[in-house]
Amino acid sequence: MPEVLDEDILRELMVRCTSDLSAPPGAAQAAIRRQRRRRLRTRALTVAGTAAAAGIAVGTMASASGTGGTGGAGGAGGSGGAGTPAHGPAIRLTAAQQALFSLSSAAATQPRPSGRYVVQAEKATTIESGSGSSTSEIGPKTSVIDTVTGGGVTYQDISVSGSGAGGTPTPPGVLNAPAGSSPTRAQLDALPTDPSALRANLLAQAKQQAAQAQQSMEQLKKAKKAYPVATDPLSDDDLVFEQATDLLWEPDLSPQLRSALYKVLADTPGVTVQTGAKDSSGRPATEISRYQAPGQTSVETFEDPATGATLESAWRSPGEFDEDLYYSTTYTNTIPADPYQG
Amino acid sequence: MDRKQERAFEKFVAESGDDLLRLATLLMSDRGLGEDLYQETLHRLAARWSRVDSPRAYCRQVMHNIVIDQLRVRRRQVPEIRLADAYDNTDPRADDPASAAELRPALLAALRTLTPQQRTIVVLRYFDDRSENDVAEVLGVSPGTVKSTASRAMAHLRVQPGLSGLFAMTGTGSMTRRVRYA
Repeated sequence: MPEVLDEDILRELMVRCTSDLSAPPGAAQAAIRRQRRRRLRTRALTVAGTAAAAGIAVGTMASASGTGGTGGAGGAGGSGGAGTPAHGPAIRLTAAQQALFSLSSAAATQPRPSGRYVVQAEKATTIESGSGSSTSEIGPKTSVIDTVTGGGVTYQDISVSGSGAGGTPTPPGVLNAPAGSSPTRAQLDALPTDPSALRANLLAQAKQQAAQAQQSMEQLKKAKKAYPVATDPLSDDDLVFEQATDLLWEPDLSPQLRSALYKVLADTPGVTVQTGAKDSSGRPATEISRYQAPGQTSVETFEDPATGATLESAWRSPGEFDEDLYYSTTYTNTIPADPYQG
Repeated sequence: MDRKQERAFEKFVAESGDDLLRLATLLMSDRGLGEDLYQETLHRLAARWSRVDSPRAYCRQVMHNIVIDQLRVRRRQVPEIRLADAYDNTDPRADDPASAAELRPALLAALRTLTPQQRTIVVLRYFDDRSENDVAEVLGVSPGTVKSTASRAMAHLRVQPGLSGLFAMTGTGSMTRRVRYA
């Protein structure tokens, strides 16, 4: 006669005492959303530079920066001539617009470095406060982006991020990004540098991405694999701000494109600009943000007023804060070795 | 994660979420902390999804690591007042709400009297049905240690007042027969 062991009784007890617990809905989606945000910076611009997006009509809105008309030096549509035309001072600019135009001018005058690989030294921070606990992950890393393939490699300082993160099983110190993880230089250079055309392009991209996301959500719902997640419809301005700030923290933008992005932001209602701010490492910065409905993720980006380069980007949502701080951006023709080895 | 991977991740969570939450609750011996552990484990799994061979094994390992890490942190903190049992409001729609509601606080309290290693070992060994070798691998100890620790933990649980009368063999005979101190 088989004997009932105490181990079996304990097993039965543990099963019975937890049998009424079911996983909270939305946990998988929360993890995916957080993962998407963390990948934002390396996310491929899915339709950047594709014919569909580039073909969108220009001039959907009256742009404060003008599209070349009156006082401009013409040539805004040229293939990135050295001097972006100065905006016509016909319209009285708000302080926010002035600050953004100032960033635009600073960005336009920066040299474009050469070299196949972009090397960014950065620090990523995630602070999450859940019900009763809060976790933070802080780690220096160095991202290498191959501007030809869009692939690359990220070196992480495990000695720091491992302990702070609370120890996943030995996080890999080197992560390889497959080709297409970042937009290639060719894709970025194919984007229009006229502000109105760029705005239209960003909007078209955003709508296409939203449609794709909607479609896969519908499929999941049909397969009963997803909990319905309420998504508020975003306005065109919401979408443009999201896309433009996404693009700003791509390191390998041409001076003309970066300059045009600030003009797009200057034309987007609701954008807030704070001059004389500081990034979290204390560097002088111009802070760009935008009002978001409560519960939505808000984006803040800190720009170097002297060069128009992005110093820091931060995402804030209820209970969570993600930030990337950029220390330096350099260009090389060979993939550098792991700086954290040894 | 691309969309396909996101779908696979959601499928995995839909299939295994309840189990993982239960495992987390037992490992923390606390419902609220168990939910936190569950959510944090999913975050880490999502971050590594494309490089994980066995999501279940990965979750097990991550949960153990987090438990150990939190212990390190907690040791440096002032002991907190436990609100766990107050938080424990059982879903009345469950199959057998009375027994789960009555037993859970007692079982969790008894599990909390174990050392973290003992607790992890009995939960993985008996609730998650892992072999001694599997558990040994997760904890980074020898299979012999798993065996002896599990025995000690069982002996300890047998004499917990909250669980008295539940075990079949509380007599010394069974103790000497099955509890071998390594």
